[in-house]
Amino acid sequence: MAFGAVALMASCYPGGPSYVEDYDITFATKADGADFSDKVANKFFMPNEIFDIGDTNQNVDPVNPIFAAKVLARVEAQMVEYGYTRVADTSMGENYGVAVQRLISDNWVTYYWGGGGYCGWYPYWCGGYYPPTGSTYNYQTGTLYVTMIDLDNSTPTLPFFVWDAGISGLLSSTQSNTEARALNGINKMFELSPYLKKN
Amino acid sequence: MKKIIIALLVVFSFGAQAQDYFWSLTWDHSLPMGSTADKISAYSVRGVGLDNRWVYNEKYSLGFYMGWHTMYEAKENETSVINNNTTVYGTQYRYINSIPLALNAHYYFNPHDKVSFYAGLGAGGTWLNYRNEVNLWAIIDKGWRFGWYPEVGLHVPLNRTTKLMAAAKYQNATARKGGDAYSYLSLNFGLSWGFF
Repeated sequence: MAFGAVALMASCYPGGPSYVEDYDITFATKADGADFSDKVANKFFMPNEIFDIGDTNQNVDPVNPIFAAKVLARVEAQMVEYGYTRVADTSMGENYGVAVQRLISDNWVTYYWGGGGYCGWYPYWCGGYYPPTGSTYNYQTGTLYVTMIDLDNSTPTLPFFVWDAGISGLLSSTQSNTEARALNGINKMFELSPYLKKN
Repeated sequence: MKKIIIALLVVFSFGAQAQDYFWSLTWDHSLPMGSTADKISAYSVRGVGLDNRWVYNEKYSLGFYMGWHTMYEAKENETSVINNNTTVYGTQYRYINSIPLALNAHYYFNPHDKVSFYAGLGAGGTWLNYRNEVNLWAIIDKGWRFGWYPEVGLHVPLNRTTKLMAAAKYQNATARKGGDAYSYLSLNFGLSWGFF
């Protein structure tokens, strides 16, 4: 009996994750020094697409446009619920930039801001390398990732990323419920970040 | 010097005359208690213990115990604050590895009966490692703590040198700087060998 117990002790860490889905998390990070207390500064601009971050030479399937539209609409709805107002273009005094992205490479701690809607807005950002907001964790391929930049406190060479949040691994999954998980995950990102509220 | 040698001879001759020895190997189960159960509530059968005792006058023993106890539970849909700025929501995988090392003393109420009962106390050091893993993060609380336990148990003789053994220890590992206190009920089932 006791010898059987020794066999049972083969691992210090029994159990644990078995499938990649077991690692799924929703996370939210506020940058050091980020301050959302100015209730008047509540305008944000968000490009109407999901950007890919990572090695852009990879062959990856584009994000389904219907799925992308639903994701962007949910982010906007959550921002509005927290007291923000979305502006239609970059000449309307926006205080924040919000981008929704998909990570297409693992371990992409610093990433390439790959053009898209921001290029016509702040051209000097295009082609630059920027670290994510103070976080050094390992984003998994397929992470749906939302970032917010405080434009009032950014400089032309140093954007101030004040918030990032994501659903780790989501878009690498083949599960049929990806859409529901994405939309629920976006709700959860904001639930984890009550400090964003402007109302 | 001569006095010391005489004293040692007296002690050893007394020991040779009145001392018996046995050791026990046990399969240790763990049931987290108190605030430890808030971290992991699942009953665990992953554990092993080794007990050595020197018995004096059939009624008393001194010895030492060492064990290795592992507890585990997965908690779904939990929110973790990783640092002041990062919050993570997902499945947490929680582990406790506890290694108590203790000196102990026991009293045997009825050593000649078919079922003999005893009670005792152990105290020493417990190395305990608590890990709360979520995705690629882990919240860790590990290190040495003062450990102690009250114990009750019984022996059932199988033959001249072997007895069945069952015991219950209430294992306590005290708080340390930056770390919590832990406690769990340790149920031990095994065999004892020796002349006692």
